[in-house]
Amino acid sequence: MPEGIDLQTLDDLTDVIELLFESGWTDGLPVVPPTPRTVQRMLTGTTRQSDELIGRIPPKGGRATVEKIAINAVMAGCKPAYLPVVIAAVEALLDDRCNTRGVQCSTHISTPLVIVNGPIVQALGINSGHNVFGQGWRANATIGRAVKLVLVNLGGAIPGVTDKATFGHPGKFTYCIGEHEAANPWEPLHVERGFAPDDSTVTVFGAEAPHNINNHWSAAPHGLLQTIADTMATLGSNHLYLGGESFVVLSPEHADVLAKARWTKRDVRAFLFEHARKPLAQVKIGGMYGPETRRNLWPRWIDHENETERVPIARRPEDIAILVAGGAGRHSVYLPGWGARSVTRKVLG
Amino acid sequence: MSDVHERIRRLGLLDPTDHEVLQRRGLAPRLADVYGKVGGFLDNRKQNASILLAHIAERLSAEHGMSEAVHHTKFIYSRLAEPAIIDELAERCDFIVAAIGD
Repeated sequence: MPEGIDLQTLDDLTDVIELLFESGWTDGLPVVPPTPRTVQRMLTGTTRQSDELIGRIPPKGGRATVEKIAINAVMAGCKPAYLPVVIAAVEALLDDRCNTRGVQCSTHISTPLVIVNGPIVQALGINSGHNVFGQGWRANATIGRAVKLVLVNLGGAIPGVTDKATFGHPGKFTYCIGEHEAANPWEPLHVERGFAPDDSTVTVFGAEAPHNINNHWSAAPHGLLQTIADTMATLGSNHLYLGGESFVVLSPEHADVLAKARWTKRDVRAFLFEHARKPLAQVKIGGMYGPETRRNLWPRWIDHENETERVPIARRPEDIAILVAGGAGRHSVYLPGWGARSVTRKVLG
Repeated sequence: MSDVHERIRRLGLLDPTDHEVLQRRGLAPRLADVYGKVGGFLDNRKQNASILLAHIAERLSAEHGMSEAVHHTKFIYSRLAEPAIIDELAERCDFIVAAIGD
């Protein structure tokens, strides 16, 4: 126990934590009390001015200043060094392409995932390996949690009131991963998007929970990617109806199968775009088929009169993003989205 | 400010919300009636929204004396209406009915 702290102080702290539960400012788990001292310490993690306005968080438009983000980061349990990542994620979420307002309010299940690239992954100890979507790493857990607290406390996305998610998923507590760049046979996500390898970036993407793809057998790309494509094209997903971006997270072992066969990321995307499809006759019995789907959301080349026409899950191959993460094992995951897009921002000091 | 938030403030803890904005952004003030008023009807393109809104406009006109209905349709339900639509509704209408959820 640190010097000068006694049991009475700890009892008092518990009372404060209880009070914070009552305030409605938590996610249902205990939070660290945001005192002026703890917030000041958090602000040492950035060179930005505490009153700098990053933006207004939808749907209600609360003002996300650096200080307000720092308060939420304290409550989430972040270290000061994590703060620039949280700020970059908030900046990215304010880009219109994410449609954060829609993701925050929809009945759909998605919630923003934070993907971190570059040297900061190692520097902060962000997990990109075993159990990457799971528990056990403070950086992943608290950076993701801080972003969620910002979205609720400043965005006013109150479950059942303004956040109308029918189910939601556990990623609404925290949802943050690093890309496993050392295990990636291709260029990592941020380099693909025009950043330097030494840049550290955050990518945010409104995503469903990870869908597992088990393929222990295929030693060649076609079988492996057919398994992945089959998992991607399902009648209950938004993508067959709305398009938008989605992510495939390849495990290092699956990525290795593809790279050893000299497939590039572009080859992988081309295959998935061609094979993650459903016949129009099936799509018509599915989740969101209707006049709106026919109106403007599919590529123009789809023949709406041909029942055997194979409808893709995206409008173009580039809307299928490829990441490498996770530990040993022949599993990958698919992250369907909501119909919106991901946005990448550089992490500033 | 609730009792709980007042106690938190007295403790000196910092507020993670934007209290002022969150309190201000609620429902728009309600009209006592719609007699002689211009109604805006914003279709978000969810299935059957146009049918429902047409029916509501008809009832408000026939039974409650609404003077005029202004209809608009968003490009897609998941995004805000285009600024030109919002501006016109704000300029011409006394009240707006937006529809619909799932």
